[in-house]
Amino acid sequence: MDRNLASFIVRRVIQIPPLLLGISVLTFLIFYFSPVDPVVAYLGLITVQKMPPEDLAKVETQLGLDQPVQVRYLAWLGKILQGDWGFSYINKRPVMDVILERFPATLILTLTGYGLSAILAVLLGLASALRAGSRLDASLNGLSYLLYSMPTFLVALLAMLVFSAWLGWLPSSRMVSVDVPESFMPYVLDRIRHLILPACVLAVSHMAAFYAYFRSSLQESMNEDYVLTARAKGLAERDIILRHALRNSLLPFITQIGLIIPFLIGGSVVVESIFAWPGIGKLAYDAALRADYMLLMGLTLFTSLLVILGNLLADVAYALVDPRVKYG
Amino acid sequence: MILRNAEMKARIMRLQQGGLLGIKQVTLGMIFIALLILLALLAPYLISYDPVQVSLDQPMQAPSFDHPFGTDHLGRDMFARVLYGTRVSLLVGICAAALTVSLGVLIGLLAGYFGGLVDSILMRLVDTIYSPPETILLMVLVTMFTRSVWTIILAIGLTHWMGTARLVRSEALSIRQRPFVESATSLGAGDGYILYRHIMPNLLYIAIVSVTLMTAHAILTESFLSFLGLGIPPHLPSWGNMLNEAQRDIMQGIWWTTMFPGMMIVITVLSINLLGEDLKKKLAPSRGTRIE
Repeated sequence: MDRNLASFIVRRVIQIPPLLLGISVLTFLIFYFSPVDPVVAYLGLITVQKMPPEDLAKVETQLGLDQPVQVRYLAWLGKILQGDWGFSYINKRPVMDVILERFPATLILTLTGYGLSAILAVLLGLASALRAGSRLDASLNGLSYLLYSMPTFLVALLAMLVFSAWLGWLPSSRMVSVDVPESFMPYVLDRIRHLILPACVLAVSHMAAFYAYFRSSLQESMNEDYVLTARAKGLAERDIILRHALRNSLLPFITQIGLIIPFLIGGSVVVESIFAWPGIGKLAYDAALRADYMLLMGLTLFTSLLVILGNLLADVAYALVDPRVKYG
Repeated sequence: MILRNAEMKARIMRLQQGGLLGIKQVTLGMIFIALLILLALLAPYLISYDPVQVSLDQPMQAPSFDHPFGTDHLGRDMFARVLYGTRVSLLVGICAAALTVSLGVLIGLLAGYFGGLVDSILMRLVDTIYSPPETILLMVLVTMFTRSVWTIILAIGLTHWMGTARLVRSEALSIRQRPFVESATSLGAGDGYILYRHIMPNLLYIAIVSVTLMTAHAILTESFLSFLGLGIPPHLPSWGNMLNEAQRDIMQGIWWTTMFPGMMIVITVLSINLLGEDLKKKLAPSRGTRIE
């Protein structure tokens, strides 16, 4: 690894701890200033209502609610750093355990969905670039514009209406059937059948942004001097696009994948709650509906961490690919 | 961010390619927006049905002459509900956009003009709020407070101002170094005067375009929150609330409770986006600034 790249990465990583500190303060303050009773947030409303007042007072002292803000913040931060992210009362388990348990389901769904989305976008982008200005190009542009104005949940509802209700081809909820098949192959097939609809909804509803990004990145490459040279040499337009422009526009496209994590989580909240997919998006939705604040705090921190890592990854990948960045 | 910026560029390209039936797309969009505002204002005079009137003897009626958009599971007229939903969407969209852009411009100006410590603190704040995914932050904020139209507007405003702030900051930074600002300073003008007379007018185009595009985004956000049951209180007819209730109908194959409110969201957002892009092209043709 050359020295410039190493120093770039170091400079970039140094920015992270203050940001993390900022996020922890933000999270703490939102919940500190909210009208939520911390004892309720910790134990759940029903438990608190059944408790005798002297027990409540004891819990309050235990939680350190009689301490000043900064002391409470530091105590909370200390616990967070030690991996004690509080207790989720709707799940009756530690927050960290619940999040880590649910995360793989989200990974499966979003990786499939966004992978499909990116591949489709590149193929369609190429198709429209090969026939730039044609009717195909115009209608693909129109379609991507329409999809961009269409909320994900609407795509999901329409897909469910057509493929589950009318055609009855695919299941509309959960990750596996209630009566899970025992043997291996039927089990896998069952999982895949449940994955198709939510993954395709994610793919279709986020394709517009991918398509537009790739198409404009391809367009930019097409204006470069080397394309002019290739044209002057008499290369066919097809070869110019596939051999020259594609490579140079695909690379930035791939490196920027890390930046989509906020969209990925937003999408998973919608799709998982509609299709009852047991991932962290559904978890966040349940936590919000039932006011499980410990869990919400945990999810805010966890997803922020993912976003920061994604940004770091994108920056480093970009620096690896484009040497100009490192010297900047 | 990157995705959105590129989106804009691609959209401009697309806009240059004609429209439908010889009319420019943006004109169609503007006609629709005008129509929408008119409908929102005149809703009570246009329809005889009450949007919250329950008629349990007429549940789930398919669209007919009597009920052009059909009725929902409580027998409420969907056409009336969709029409009244326009009011909620436009109110939330416009107010949230105004709040977002005001906050963004204010903070961006302070950071860009004063620079130094003020700038570092404000920009670290922007970075911090940018880190949690928008959806999660919104969900946290709306669960914290009693739900009403105004808390939804506040929640959208508080989670979306950072883009405008960054943009305004970088513009303010560059305008501050122009000769006309220097000459005003040397003539003894104060900070307030320079900000008001020299910096602000040059940032107006960002504000106008941002408000327009943000209105579309706020309408989408509101419908999304309401759809999840975390937005506008359920007794108010908003498009998102209608779609939330339509979920139960989907598996029975009933399409009208989903299709009509959904269609309204898409056409409205599309029209406003078209207008926003057109404004951007006209107001900032050569600057090549990325406006979100």
